[in-house]
Amino acid sequence: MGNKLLTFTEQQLENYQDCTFFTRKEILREIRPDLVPKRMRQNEQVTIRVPLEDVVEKLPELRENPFKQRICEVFSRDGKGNLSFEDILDLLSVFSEQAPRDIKVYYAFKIYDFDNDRHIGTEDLDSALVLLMRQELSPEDRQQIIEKVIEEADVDGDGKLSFMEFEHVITRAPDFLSTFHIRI
Amino acid sequence: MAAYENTIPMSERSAQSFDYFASVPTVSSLAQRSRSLGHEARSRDYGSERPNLVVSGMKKFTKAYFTGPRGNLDLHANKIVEKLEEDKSLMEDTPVSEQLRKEALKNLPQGLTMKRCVKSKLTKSVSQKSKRKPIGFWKRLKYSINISFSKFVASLKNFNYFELWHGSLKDIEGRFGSGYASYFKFLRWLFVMNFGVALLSLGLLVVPQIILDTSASNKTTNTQSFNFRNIFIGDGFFIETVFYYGHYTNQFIEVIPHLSFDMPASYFSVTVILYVLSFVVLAVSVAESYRRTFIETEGGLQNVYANRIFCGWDYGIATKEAAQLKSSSIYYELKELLSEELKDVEDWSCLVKFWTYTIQVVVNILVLVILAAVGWMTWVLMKKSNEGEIAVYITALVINIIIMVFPSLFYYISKHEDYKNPRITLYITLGRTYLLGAVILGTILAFWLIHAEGKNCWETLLAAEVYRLIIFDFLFSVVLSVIVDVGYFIGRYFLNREPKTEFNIAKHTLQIIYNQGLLWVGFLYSPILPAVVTLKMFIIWYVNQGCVRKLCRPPKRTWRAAQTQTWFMMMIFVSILLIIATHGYALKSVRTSQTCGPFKHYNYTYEIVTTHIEDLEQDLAWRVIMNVTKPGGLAFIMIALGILVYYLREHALANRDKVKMLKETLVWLAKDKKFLVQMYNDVTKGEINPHLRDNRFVDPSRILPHEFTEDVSSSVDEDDFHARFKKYS
Repeated sequence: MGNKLLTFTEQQLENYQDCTFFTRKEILREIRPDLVPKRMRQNEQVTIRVPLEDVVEKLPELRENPFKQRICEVFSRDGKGNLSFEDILDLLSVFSEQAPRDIKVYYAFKIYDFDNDRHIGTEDLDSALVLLMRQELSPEDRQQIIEKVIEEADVDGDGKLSFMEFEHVITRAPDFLSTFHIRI
Repeated sequence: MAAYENTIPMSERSAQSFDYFASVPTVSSLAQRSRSLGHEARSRDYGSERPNLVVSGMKKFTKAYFTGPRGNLDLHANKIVEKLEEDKSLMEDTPVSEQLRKEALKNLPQGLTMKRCVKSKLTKSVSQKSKRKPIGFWKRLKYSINISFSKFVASLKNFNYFELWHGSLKDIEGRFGSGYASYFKFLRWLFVMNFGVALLSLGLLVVPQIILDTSASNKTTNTQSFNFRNIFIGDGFFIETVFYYGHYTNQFIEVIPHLSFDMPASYFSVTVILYVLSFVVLAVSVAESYRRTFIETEGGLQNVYANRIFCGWDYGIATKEAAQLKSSSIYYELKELLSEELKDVEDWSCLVKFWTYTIQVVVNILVLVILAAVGWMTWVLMKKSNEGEIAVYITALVINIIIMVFPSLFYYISKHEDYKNPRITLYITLGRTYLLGAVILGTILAFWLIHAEGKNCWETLLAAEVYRLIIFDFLFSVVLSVIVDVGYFIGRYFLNREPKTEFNIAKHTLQIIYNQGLLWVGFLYSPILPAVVTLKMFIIWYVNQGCVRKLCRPPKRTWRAAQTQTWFMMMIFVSILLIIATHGYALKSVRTSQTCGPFKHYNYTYEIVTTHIEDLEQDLAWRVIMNVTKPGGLAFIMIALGILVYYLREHALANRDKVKMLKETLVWLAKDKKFLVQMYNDVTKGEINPHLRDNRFVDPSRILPHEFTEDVSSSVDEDDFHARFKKYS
């Protein structure tokens, strides 16, 4: 691994292995010199935070993702998108192939809930559509699509999707596991 | 089973609070887990600061959703540990509960820092609190075996084949999306399986024979000379080498004294065991894939819009152009869906429907006739191929041309058939192409098995035929098609059109499946074939990768990888099933040639099994097996299995009904809530709560029970209240 400015003890690696869905080899592969800030010592994997723009630059999969802002916000501890090394490891662990469906559904719900009100409402869906399409859809089309989504997924009739309804829709989708996946 | 959600009052909600909370197990998790919900615990929190824990479902699975105050990491971790301690099975000091703790930690939806904190606290409290019960010797032994086994499995995982070609797979996935990557994953999986088979067959069959050949006591010379074209045709020089069945001896090999190697027994058992192993591996993969894509997702096919938005984006994409294409493909799909809503598809008149159906039936019959014609032609070619050198080339050429050309023909035909759904068109074309390959392989096998009587060493000739087909298929589908693709690329470039085309996943996957079928047909009579096919797949990987990178662009339409992969696996599974059945028939009822091969002193190949078993007749194990396989024993086993299947099926049906009932209950409860809120609004007309003074309609999700109870009694006139309430009673 070249000039390793940082080392992890055996104990730490085992901790990481126990708490994430990675194997040891994958964790070691993640300690890329470009991803981790230099001169990071013993306890600094928690305290040193990489600001959002830098994270997005360094993880190529996130660079092109329309939801990158929201993903960073969800996984950061202060909610503003500045990630420490452990947060990045957590992010990649959730997106890895071994993570079970339930964890992915949980985090997917958090990502799509833009205003953090525990429901995916019409504004959330609108923002999601704008980000996905890069503003190619007209507002009437967007409105129609949002109505259709609510119609399909809303069971209790309150006009927005709660976590249960979201989970119910997503676990029925055959492609969710294969698309919600970042290979490291 | 209330579906209500409790909310934190707005004053306490902060912008950073993102820990979610659900008070009942989800409907989908009920459907999935068919055990009783013994541990379901529900707690209602009316806005206090206490964290809430819901333990749902399975014995060994703790799904904890928490809400809690923001702020101190330590405080929060303490509360989580408190709740986890309530589950007794997690807190013991045994290795089993350590595994359970690890699983519970992994599934905790918290950040990594939090999890490490929780873990350290948990281990501390476990070591303090648990009493060290003396574990008996056998239990300790069992635990140590379990631990070492799981450590072994974990270390294997560190070493698993996901590492092979990982870099290039990631690159392809990043630039072209997960559709193309699914083809390459399939290719890699088959490559690894073939590699294992090749290793075993080389080591256990080819190497002993080579040792025998080169040992001083048994020098045999090859009567044929080597010619370059023998590499392509596979006969001539190669007939008398370890390539084919005919060369293997039927003696005991005893090069090293006192160490004898029974060649016939080894040949028979290695090939049969490898076939059975491949079959088992495929069966398990097919079952798992089927379960994942069809059973668990039942009933989800109506949520088209939601699926497109939530699962539409491929998170693995890493380049700008792929991202651009992806977002435009989602855009087109949504536009298509919207426009379909407007157009009324069911508006076809009876005449049009009748006409379409007739066309479909006629085309299907035509295709069947074409397939029969192909089979007949293959038969004729096989007959002619024994009469001369050129005929051999012609057979292989014609078969490969058919395999290259006909799929495009089928695709063209199916476009005119007007199926309702483009997916159905794809599946039908895939099915027809698969049947084409199956017909050709079946005819070849049938020909040789029927004409086995007259020929000398027919097994070798059959294996040579298969080898020839594999090599020619390599030449056509790899070398020739690369040349053609490059030619098209250059041609389009000069014509100033878009030079890059899409990579045809279906065609390439079917090629691999055909290849694998050829391997299984020939492996019984040619132990070196897996090595040849492994080498071929290795080359195919690099060639296709180069083609995709240089000549192809990302797909315009989303390729639904999950379901099509299941179909491909099923096709491969059906292939190996049929081939094993045919080989079983051949082993049992087709006479072996008396002049060559390891079984030349038997009449039928299966006799080797019976002769060996006769030696065991004295054994106790044999007597047990004989008793069990008597009709009574077998009938008993069959009945027991039948009862088990019936029970499981009834269980599944009962769960499905339960799910339906629960869904209806949810809907009714939601209607109740709306009704009650409506009633409340009508009755009070905003006179009670100062928030509602301006007659705003109450938002059902914002209403809190304590507001309800506290304020209703305060200032409404009783008679007025009852008068209005009468309307609803």
